[in-house]
Amino acid sequence: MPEKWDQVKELFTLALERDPEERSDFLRQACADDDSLRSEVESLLSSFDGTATFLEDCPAADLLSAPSRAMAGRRIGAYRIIREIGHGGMAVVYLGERDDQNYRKQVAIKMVKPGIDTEQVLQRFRNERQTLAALDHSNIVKLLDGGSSEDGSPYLVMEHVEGLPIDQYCDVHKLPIDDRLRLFREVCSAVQYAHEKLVIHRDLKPANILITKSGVPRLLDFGIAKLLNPECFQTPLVTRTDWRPMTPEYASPEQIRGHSVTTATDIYSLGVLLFELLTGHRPYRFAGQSLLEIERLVCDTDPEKPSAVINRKEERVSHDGEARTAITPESVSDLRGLQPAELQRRLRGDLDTIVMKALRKEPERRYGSVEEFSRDIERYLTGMPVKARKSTITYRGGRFLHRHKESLAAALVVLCLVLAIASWEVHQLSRQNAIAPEPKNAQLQARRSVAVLGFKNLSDRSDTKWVSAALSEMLATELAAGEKLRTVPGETVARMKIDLGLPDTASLAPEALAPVRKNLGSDFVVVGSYFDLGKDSGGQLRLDVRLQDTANGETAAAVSETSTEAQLLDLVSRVGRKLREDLGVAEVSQVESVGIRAAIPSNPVAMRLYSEGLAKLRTFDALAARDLLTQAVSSDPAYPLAHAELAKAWMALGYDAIALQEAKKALELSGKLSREDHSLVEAGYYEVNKDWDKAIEVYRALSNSSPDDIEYGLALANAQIQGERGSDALKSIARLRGLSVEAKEDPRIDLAEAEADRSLSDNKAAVLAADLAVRKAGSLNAKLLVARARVFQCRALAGLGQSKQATADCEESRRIFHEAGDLAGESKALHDLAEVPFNQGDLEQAKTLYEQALTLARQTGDKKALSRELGNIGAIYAQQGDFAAGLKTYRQALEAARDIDDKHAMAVVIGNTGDILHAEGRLGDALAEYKDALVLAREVGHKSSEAIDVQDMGDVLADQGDLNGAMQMYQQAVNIQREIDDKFYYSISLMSIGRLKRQKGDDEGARKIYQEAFSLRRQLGDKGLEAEAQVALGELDCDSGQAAEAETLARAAIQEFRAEREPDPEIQSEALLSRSLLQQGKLEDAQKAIARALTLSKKSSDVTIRLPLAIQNAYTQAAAKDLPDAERLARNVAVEAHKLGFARIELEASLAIGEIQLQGTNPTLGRKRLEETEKTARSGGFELIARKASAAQQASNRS
Amino acid sequence: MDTPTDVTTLLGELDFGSDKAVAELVVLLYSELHSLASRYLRRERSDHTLQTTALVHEAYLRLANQREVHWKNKEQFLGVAAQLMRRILVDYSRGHGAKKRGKGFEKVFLDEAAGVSKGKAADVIALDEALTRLAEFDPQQAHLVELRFFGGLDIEESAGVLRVSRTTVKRNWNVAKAWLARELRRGDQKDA
Repeated sequence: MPEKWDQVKELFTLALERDPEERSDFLRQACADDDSLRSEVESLLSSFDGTATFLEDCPAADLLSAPSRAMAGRRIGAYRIIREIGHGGMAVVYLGERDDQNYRKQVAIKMVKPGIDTEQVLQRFRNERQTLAALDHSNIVKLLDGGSSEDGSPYLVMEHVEGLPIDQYCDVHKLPIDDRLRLFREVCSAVQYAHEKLVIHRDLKPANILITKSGVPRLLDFGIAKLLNPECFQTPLVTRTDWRPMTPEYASPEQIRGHSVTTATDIYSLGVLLFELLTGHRPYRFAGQSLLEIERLVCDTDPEKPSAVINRKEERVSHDGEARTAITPESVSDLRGLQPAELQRRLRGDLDTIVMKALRKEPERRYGSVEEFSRDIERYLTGMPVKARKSTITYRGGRFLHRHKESLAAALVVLCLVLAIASWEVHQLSRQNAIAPEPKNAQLQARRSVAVLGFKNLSDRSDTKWVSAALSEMLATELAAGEKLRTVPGETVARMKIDLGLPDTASLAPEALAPVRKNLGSDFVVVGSYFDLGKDSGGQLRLDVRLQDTANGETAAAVSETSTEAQLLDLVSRVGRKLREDLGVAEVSQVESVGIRAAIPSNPVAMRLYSEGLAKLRTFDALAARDLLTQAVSSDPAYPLAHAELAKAWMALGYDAIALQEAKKALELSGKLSREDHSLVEAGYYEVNKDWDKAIEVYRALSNSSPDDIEYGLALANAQIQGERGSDALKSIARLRGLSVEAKEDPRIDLAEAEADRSLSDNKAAVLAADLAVRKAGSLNAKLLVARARVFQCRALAGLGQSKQATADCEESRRIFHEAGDLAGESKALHDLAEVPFNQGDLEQAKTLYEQALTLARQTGDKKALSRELGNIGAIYAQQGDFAAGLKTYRQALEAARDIDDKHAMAVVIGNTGDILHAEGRLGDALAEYKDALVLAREVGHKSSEAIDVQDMGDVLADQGDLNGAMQMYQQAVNIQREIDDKFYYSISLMSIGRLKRQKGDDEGARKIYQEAFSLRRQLGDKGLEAEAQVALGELDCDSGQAAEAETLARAAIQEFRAEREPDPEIQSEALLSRSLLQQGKLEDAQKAIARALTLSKKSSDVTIRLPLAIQNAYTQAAAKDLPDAERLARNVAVEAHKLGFARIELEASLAIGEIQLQGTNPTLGRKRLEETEKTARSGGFELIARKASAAQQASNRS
Repeated sequence: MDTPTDVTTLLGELDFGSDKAVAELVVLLYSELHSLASRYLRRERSDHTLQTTALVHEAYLRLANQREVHWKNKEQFLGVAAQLMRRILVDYSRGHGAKKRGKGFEKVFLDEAAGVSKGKAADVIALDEALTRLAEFDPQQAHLVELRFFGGLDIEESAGVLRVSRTTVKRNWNVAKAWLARELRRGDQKDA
């Protein structure tokens, strides 16, 4: 250690702060007589002179480059070098002149730095030469010559532009705003010209835009310009996505992030330039910021508006760090010939808007072209409305007023309207913001995404077709390892390929890539081809892979490899490694390669079967997929993904139980898979198991760790919808929307929202969301998504009662699915299509459609759909009164459900079978079916079904005369329905309880219950059910002699049921009408009502409807004094009811017989019968009948 | 082992002064920086000027889990990274300097324009050696040079890492430069 180092340091510093001539005096004083100290400090001071740039300007790594050599005086071609005028990373620029007596023009000569003239650099150099040669524009520097020097290094000769950088020029000449804008537009014309020639400059900044003395802008330095020309794909002109030279102040977010660069990048840089020309400030201040902070600033924060930024006070330090210039509101305004307030006014509004549009983070949201940008400035200059603002309606109004002041009054009305709309928009926006708090963060984390599209089979052997699927899967796994890249799932890719009709292809043209990018939101695609070299080569396979940038179609990497089928994994690893390298992603680590290995079958046979199965599954052939995947599983039982995919196939076929076994196996075997793969397998298991809470948990974790992955977000939303957490789903969906620009255009998000809205019974919102999905999917040409969206729209519209539109949507959906060969989708669309006429009572039409859906279900092998459609058809037969056909169809439905062990479906079908048996009067059989259904419903924990079955059993017991047993059942049903808040069936159970109470003579209790049911049904908005409750209330009215009220209710109900085409309740209503009319002595009308009811009942064989009607008919006959006929009718009912075991109906018939006999046929027998009836009824709890029997006896006693 | 989470955890521990964490972080960083540097130097150098700062920052981006970056640790990270860059570049110079000399090229120059010693060059290795000597009696100075020259940090950032004022950094920087320039000139004289 030098002696007294601390003192040395201190004195050195102090001395340095003094003027050089004072230093030695100072040191002499300070060091007193310590000569060694003084000489040490002096030595350091002298050493310090000349270190101005020492260690300062050269980053350490630059040390490793070869030195540049003195070039002055050297001759290059016909030119002599005068001096260096600049240097960049790979090139040096010299001022030169043509060594020609007559012609002493000065030129700029650009040369590759010696020592780094690798092939790649030379290629770049040739690129620039080619670029410049292609450009001939008065505002772009001209290429004069080019060649190779004696030592073979290439050079370019360009015209030497003498001028000032544009910012300095403007300030030196104190150009006013409008002149600055005009000058800027000239620059735009040069850039636009370059873009038209497919050249992107990529480094636009004042230093590269010189303004000559005559005021003409010249664009320089196309050193890092990029050719968009597709012809250049063949050259190794690869766009690196990592760090590249750029000037951070002018670099766009995509450049900073290393994303692909487009013409929009130049637009951004021009935006920065315009910002600076107008305000004297740059959008962001980077002084002392690290690159990381710069990235955050540029990519994540919005700059101040020009009109605001001019209030900023700033000190700009020159490049050498010495000169400092103060920038103040006064200084910037002065340089533009204005006062600060005037400048602010000029900038506020249009100019703010124009600049900010050019500076948008998302390239797509900037101006579409430089020309558009420039034209908007022109519009500003000429006082026309600028386009940047066209989305805000208020603005146009404002501009309108400005230009037509005389018609202010008329315009004011328009403005008010416009304001109302605009504030509504603001409201909408803020609502969305409230739901999605941090969209920007999500965007910051977005990884680059890659979609492996598949490989074209170039050999004529079709038996190697599976290779494409296998390679795609493996390569995607390889690229996904380490989660540095986001890979698009194979299923999504497959759907997109069908949507766009995209075949396996060796490469894609830029225009074909655009829709792919939009559909998948992927930055890159992998395409390519493979060729089977035949047996002579030992089963060798050649694979050509191409990585294409979806933004511009550039080939970012191309790899060719050869291997045998048996060693595909190695082949894929080699290809994957190269692609990762080219994408700047670290090599696969040891741990990750274990994950990759686990995601691939252990033997070639399993690999082939798995790949073929996967391909089938994705082209909607679940049957074939199941067979292939079953074989794959037996060939490699330890391979988890085959089990997982097999589970999906079984699910598609409706075999949930088997699917669950496979999904469980997959999960058990998934330990070695990568984190993401493992999570997906796990979530898949929970989905099959309908354990939605757990599925939500896994998807939420995936979505949190990869917030940029829309697939996980969608899966999360779906699980939430399925798990009946619709409002959570809406939150997830809102977050997805804020994810990225692509996400905003992704119709799947709107589709999910429609589904969530539906699950929350918000049909209106669902229609809107589905409509958005349809439109977005339509603009992406994503047909299958359109079809899915239309199905949702159809359902929601049907829910709103707009059956016509609903039908149109479903038909369109069906057509698309049909064309795409998605039979399962078509079958679902048909199902929904059938629901519309079914709900309208057009049973024939509904049956036809269900039958078509059924046919498709048979083809796809989806047993669940098969069972469902058979069930629906059976229900239609039942409603139509064709009980035999109904029972037969239900049997088939039951078989299908039993095949797939779908206990819930079985419970439903068996319960419905019970209904038919009940209607046929087979009470014992019906009860047995209901019991079976109940057991199954309880087994699968389906509460709603359980309650229905219990209530149905109660109805049978009530019919059999076991009123107490029935009551117990009803009570059970009601308890369950309350527990699960099942209002619909609760109201049905209430009706049963009301009927029971009426029978028991509890008029008041019955009335209360009926009224509760009625108001509940009114809430549910079901008119038919409302009318049914009114009929029941009408019965009570009749019981208590209020016939007129009953008549009104009956007539209203008849209208309703007629409209709804529901014959059975219509019959009951007519019977009530007839009864109320008889009570009022209106015989003729009563007869007409009965006649109508009888006509209707010819179509119905429902005993529970037919028999009570016959009794009412008997009363009508009796009133018409046709007593023997009346008695005969009543007797028939009594016999049949007795035979079938309908105790209540038998009692009612007996009551009728007694009353008729009493009226004349045989009063003695009649009295006796009434006595017996009263006794039996009372003992059975049928107080109403007992009361009536007693009343009839008393009436006869009186007469 | 080069998973992002590891680094984040380590950075988290750094905050609590865990030496073990530093050691592990260094190992991680070294391999990451090394591969980055060699890639730049080998293939991409030709494309553009290598920016040390960019290199270090990119290493940070690659290593630190971007979602859970603890920003307050960044300065410590940069300090370690600069140290590693020095090691990498010195290694690299040792490997390649000889080859270049053998081919008849001049030594690898610091910068011709620096004017430290006209006609003669001081290479990275010499600087490294001088820096090692400086560190013996003034480690903070040496660390500063490391940060600024090898890590590519500016005054502001260096001040943050060293937790001293900008003025102090500037003063120390001047002293260090003067001392190193003198050391290197002496080295050259010996060589000659």
